[in-house]
Amino acid sequence: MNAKEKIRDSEISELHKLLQDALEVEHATIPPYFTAWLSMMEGFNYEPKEIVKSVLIEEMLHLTLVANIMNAVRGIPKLTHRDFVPRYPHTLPHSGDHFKIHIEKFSEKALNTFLHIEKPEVKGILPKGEGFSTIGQFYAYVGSRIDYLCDTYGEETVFCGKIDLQIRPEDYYGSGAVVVVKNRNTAHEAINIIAEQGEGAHEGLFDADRNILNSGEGKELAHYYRFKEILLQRHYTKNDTPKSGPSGKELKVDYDKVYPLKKDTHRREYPEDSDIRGALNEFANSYNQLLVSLEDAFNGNRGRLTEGIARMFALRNQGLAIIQTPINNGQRTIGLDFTPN
Amino acid sequence: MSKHYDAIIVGGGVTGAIMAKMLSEGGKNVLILEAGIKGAMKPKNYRKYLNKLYTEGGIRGMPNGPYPWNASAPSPAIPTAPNPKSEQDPYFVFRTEKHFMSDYLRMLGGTTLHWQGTSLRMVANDFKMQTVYGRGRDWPLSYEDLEPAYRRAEFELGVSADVEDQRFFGWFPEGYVYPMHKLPQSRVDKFFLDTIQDKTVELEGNTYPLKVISIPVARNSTPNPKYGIYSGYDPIPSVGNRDHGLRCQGNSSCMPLCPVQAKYSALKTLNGLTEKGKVKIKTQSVVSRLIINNETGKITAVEYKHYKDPDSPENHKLKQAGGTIIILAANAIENATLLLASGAANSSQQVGRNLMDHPYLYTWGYAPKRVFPFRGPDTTSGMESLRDGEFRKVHASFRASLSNWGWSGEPKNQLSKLIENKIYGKQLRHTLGDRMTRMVKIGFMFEQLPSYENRVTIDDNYKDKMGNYRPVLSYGYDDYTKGGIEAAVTKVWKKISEYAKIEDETQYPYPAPGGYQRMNYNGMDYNIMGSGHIVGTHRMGRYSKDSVTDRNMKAWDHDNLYVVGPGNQVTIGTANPTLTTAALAVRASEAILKELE
Amino acid sequence: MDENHHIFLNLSSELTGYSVIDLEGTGLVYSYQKLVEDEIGKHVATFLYDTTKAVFSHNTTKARDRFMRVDIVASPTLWPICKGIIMLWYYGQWTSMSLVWYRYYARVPPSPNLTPDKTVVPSAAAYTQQLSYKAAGAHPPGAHPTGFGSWGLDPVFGDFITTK
Repeated sequence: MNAKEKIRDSEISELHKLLQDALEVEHATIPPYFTAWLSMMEGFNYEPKEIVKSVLIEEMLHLTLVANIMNAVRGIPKLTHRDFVPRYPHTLPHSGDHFKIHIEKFSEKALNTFLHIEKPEVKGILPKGEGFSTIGQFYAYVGSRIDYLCDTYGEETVFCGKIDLQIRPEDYYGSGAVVVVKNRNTAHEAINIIAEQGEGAHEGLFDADRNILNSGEGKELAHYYRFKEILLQRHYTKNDTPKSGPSGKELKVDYDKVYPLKKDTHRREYPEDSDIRGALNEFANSYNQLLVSLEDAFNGNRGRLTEGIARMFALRNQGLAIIQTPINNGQRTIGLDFTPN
Repeated sequence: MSKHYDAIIVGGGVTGAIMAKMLSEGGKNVLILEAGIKGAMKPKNYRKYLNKLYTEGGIRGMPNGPYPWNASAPSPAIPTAPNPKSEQDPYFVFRTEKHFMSDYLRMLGGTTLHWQGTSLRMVANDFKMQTVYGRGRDWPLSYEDLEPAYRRAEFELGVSADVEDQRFFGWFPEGYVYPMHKLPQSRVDKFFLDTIQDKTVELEGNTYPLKVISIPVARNSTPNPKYGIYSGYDPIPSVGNRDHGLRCQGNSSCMPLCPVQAKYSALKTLNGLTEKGKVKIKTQSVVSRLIINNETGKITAVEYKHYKDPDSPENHKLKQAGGTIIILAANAIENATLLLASGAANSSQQVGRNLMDHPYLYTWGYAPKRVFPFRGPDTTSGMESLRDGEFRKVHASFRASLSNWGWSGEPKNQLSKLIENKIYGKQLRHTLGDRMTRMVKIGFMFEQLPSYENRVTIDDNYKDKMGNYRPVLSYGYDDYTKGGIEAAVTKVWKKISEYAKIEDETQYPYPAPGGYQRMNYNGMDYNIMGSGHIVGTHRMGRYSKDSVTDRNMKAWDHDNLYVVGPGNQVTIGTANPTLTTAALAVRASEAILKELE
Repeated sequence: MDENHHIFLNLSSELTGYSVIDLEGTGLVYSYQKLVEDEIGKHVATFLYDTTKAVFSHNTTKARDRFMRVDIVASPTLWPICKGIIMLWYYGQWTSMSLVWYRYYARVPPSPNLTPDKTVVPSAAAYTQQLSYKAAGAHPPGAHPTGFGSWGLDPVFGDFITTK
């Protein structure tokens, strides 16, 4: 291998590293969104609960899209190594301002954290220091690296992964669609979906209209503005802008109909032989099993997506059982701990 | 009389929805008159009905269960789902000792709100029973005639299936695939595939395979990228929530209500039709009479009773609506009742005759190992090889639906038994778990021949609270059907349980529990249910003297009246009728569009 | 935690074979305790709790099992209540005690609002949280779905969550 090839390989593996970080950024939002969603009691908060769920499902889509990009550039998506599931409170990788994300119940405070996570990219402000101030900036950087590598070494050299390993549109369901990444354009398409679903396209409230057949209108409110709707307890209309704020129908939120689960639970707080410790161990174990099946699915064994989905549904029941279990004389309930031992 | 419509459709179920869609796409102005309430079309109501399912402890069978009772447009009730109001105030009147055991729902969306979703095509020989087997009657159509309409129907309902499995009896055009891949087959299915797939049974001197195949269902699965006919397929989400229902998620509650609407209902077709401005839907409008011009024989208008409060049937306004074409698209029993009430379309004396259903029978037992039922859609595979064969000269054909839902009446019965034996604690938990995970059940569904005596009539002594005629029913099974039932239990189930080493627990207790009726044949007793497959009350035919409509479902007696639905079926065969109903709606729509050109 | 609550929880655990934390995870313990107490009255409830407490005071499992059989399962007063508690947890339905039970075994007048032998579903959660499906690795029809295609695999639900 000559010097030039060495540089090329190291630059491509830097991209792999960057994409692995992207996988971790996307994943890190899942435990907090999942917890907030689950903490809303059945039969109340129908709309906020559906909204948080829709974001949660799209974060799974983002995870899938990043995995597809990785496979396209012959990277290996990893979900089960040590530290993939962080210990919360947690700071997102590459985040410039080091704000902390918690595992906590649905509340105004939690919503403000979520807004921070999905904050729209502000044009003109460049990344400061070593981190990025928004996820959008981070992905813009990922996109620019792909462009650079394609321009320098040629598109075929960069996109040399096996297409078969990727998740196909028909494998995935939920709002939005999976893109099979074959080249620079499709990679950008995937990145744009992630950025737009989070923050909105063209400095607007919505993602771009991808005109999905039969599914009704193609445009969807970006995550940031979905959370804003809940916080402001009012829906956006088609004519609203980020500046105008929402002017639509009232969106009812009842912060009392939420399980008072303990924030950032660590199972070591409970004695090793206690039932609670046992339940928390089992939950973390199930979460790990979910990641094992997803990792396998993202590495060519698509059939295991079904098992992953079954495990997601099971996790809902397991998590619900935990956050319904009272502690401190019923003042609180047990919280969730996703991190493996 | 206000606006004149190109077409007036009576009934907002699957037939009405598909016809409204196709006619409006053809540029026609359409009015749908629906007797029931808007109900499930409103997402808030839908959630309310789901909650009712919970607070009533889950309601199985094919009941109108969680849907509200409507005194102004009553629906029949079957005893598996007793509804106190409908018991005090029954809708059907029975003339025979044997009762008709099926129900339907009078609400926007119709009975597709609680159908099973099974979307089998009929078998080619079902259309020519008289010619091939000397039984029943021939249709004025062949399978090949209806085949293109079947394809369109599979698009409209969103059917998931593996076309290779369906080729067993049906002919499909080269390269055809269903909109979505087959639903994944269950652990229960795999158990039967492993044990009986290559085995055979002897019926009337011939040997037949016990072939287990996946069945087509109108339930969202993985889209097939090869589906090209209507430029690909995107699964249709629930009404009111685009994130819901894009795949079946295994709620195990297709009947009486799919919580996420992954299964097709007519609401999906109706949703959005009104926005385009060509279709108007008026609910709470019970059509009571067709107004006939005696000179031309044309239907000049329909008379309907519009009510505000379902609980006050007396307070209604009598109204009329006029249209170039009048389409009756209500349930087969309702279509017949309305025709009889109007003195319409009955020169053949066939209106209301030939009422058919699929008598339904369960057999059940314990599998030798865990098969993990009580999960997934009701059924994902069937034993389909006995839907046709020489034996049809002698007795009914049938299909066997492999149930993913364990035995009927569980887990309650097992629990009660264990507790009565003072079993509790871990032993209870493990015994119950062991039994429930090994439960297998097969639902056999039998062909019934058209009979002049099985019929819907009306009687001035029986009217509902709004003053409309209640259906008066005479119904029973003949030896042809009974022979099929006997063969299913004594031959087919016997073989299946032998080959699969199933501990047979089948017994038919006396008296038959609610929802079942007793049947005796050749010294054996069976408890039989209905299937909700209400067919045959206004059959189509080649000649006006022995049928109600022509092959395009236009009434022989009235130049602008179409009577459309499963009532047009000449024979019932063994296919669950909704797909055929949808195909007939497609065919009738095409004929009407041609006529209106 | 009040003592009766503790006893009710432990008795429920003994009767169902599910651990205390499994039962607490349904979020239904308080409402079930209240339902049962309202139904059987203070007097019988005290008898039930005292007896249960005595049974649980035995140190060995063997002794506990024996006294459970003798003092509770064989008791025409207490066993019908226990059967009801099992049905409540496993099936999410409660059937009121019979008039015979009130007259001969409980020897208390039934509460004025009581309809004997009437079955109710106390809440939507009682339906969705019933344990029988958990024991089968399944879920109640219409609630807590298992996910697309899951029915083709071995369950990862309820008692089979760790199957692999």
